[in-house]
Amino acid sequence: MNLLKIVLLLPLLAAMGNSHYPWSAKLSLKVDNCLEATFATSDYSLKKMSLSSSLEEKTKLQMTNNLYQIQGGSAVLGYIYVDQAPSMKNVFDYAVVFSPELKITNTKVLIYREQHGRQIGTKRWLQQFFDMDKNSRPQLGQEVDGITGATISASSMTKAVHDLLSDVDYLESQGFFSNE
Amino acid sequence: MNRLFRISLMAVALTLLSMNVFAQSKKALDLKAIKSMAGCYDIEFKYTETFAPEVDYEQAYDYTSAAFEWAQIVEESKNKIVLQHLLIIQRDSMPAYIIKHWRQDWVFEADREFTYNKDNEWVFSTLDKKERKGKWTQSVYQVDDSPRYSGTATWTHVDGVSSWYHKADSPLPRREYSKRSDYNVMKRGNRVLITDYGWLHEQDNDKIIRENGEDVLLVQEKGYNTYKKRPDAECAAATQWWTENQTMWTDVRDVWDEVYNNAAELKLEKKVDDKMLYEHLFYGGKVWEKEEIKELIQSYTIQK
Repeated sequence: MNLLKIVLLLPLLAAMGNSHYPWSAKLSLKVDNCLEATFATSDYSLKKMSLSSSLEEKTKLQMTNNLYQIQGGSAVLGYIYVDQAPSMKNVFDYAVVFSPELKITNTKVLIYREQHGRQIGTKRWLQQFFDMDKNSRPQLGQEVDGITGATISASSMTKAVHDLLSDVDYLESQGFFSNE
Repeated sequence: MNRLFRISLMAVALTLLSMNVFAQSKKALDLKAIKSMAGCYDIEFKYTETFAPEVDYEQAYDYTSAAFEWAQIVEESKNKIVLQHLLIIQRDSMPAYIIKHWRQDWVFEADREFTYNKDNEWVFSTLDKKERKGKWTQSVYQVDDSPRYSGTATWTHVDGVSSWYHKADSPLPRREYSKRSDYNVMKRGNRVLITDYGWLHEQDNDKIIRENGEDVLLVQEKGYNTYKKRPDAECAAATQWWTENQTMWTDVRDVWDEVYNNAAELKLEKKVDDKMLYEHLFYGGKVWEKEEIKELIQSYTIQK
């Protein structure tokens, strides 16, 4: 999947409403880009992971509609979480991909809506989150280096990953992933 | 009154004369700059992707390479210089191996140029007097003398530095031609700068996705091709190769010129008989006759 594909498919997907994903056509294609880059295959499907209201109440982030199991045939390839976080004047879309063992294997900023702070999209910065797991609680300036000129967005992305790992820790302790 | 008229006439004549002298000396400087790109060079190629509009675009690895090259003036007149670049491959005790490389033609006040569209298609257009006045058209050709890109601009000579800049649409560069499919047009910002060490081909490129009449910028790129002069004698193997092979390549150039002169649009096959054009012309040790070259090149042109 590449940008050429995005340009070619956007009008078609927009017309179709891209019914298999809950996101906009642009975001859906970027999620696909991210997954294809992570798993080096386009042969996968996403299964929505729904939480009971009691579990959802306990998580810091919204899980239902944002958390998906990635399936490749009968195997579980991993999980993906897609959400928005605040930048200085707007919000950006990001994705965090986990292995079946719930270790972070990829993080991407998918859509960024202002000029200030775009540097958080660079792989060099985002790969600081790779290999973090349910026991990690990243803090900007400690486990994660800040970026000059992108303090708010870097802090926002770090907090998002921090809260997500905390939620993953909690959900796993409740046997959520083994039941899926 | 009569005297005043004569003085005015003389003043106008002197002004016109000085303008003409200036234009001639400016053109002489242009020619000197263009011809100074001939010779024996060590070259460094350096490219790095810079800014991308999409935040999730992952920059490709930097590209660096080096070469040793001879640039031969193969045609020269007061309005045209043709520079043929020849790669020299040298390995310790082995004799030097020469590969015909790219070609650049410089034409003063050319009345035509070509523009790359996409999918191996070029459009030829006419330049009116105003567009071409005092300017040089640089046309760049592939190793097989098929077109790459061309552009028309003014050489400047300021503070002892000669330079020429133009932005032209072109096919993917050779280094990415078979490796990238995520863009289909390179908008090249070409700056030629004559330096004390040789010359610099500085590039500010845009990698473009061109579909349905719309251009979308994928990423920008900075490039430096640095040509550092070496003594001409060190490139003797290339000059000898050119002497031995120039007849065939002059024929190739002539056949292409005929195609270009008659074309409004030109679309070329990428491969014929599963081979790129240069593969036919380069390999097999065959010396092609002009009629065969004509037939071969025709087999690559797509009639529209």
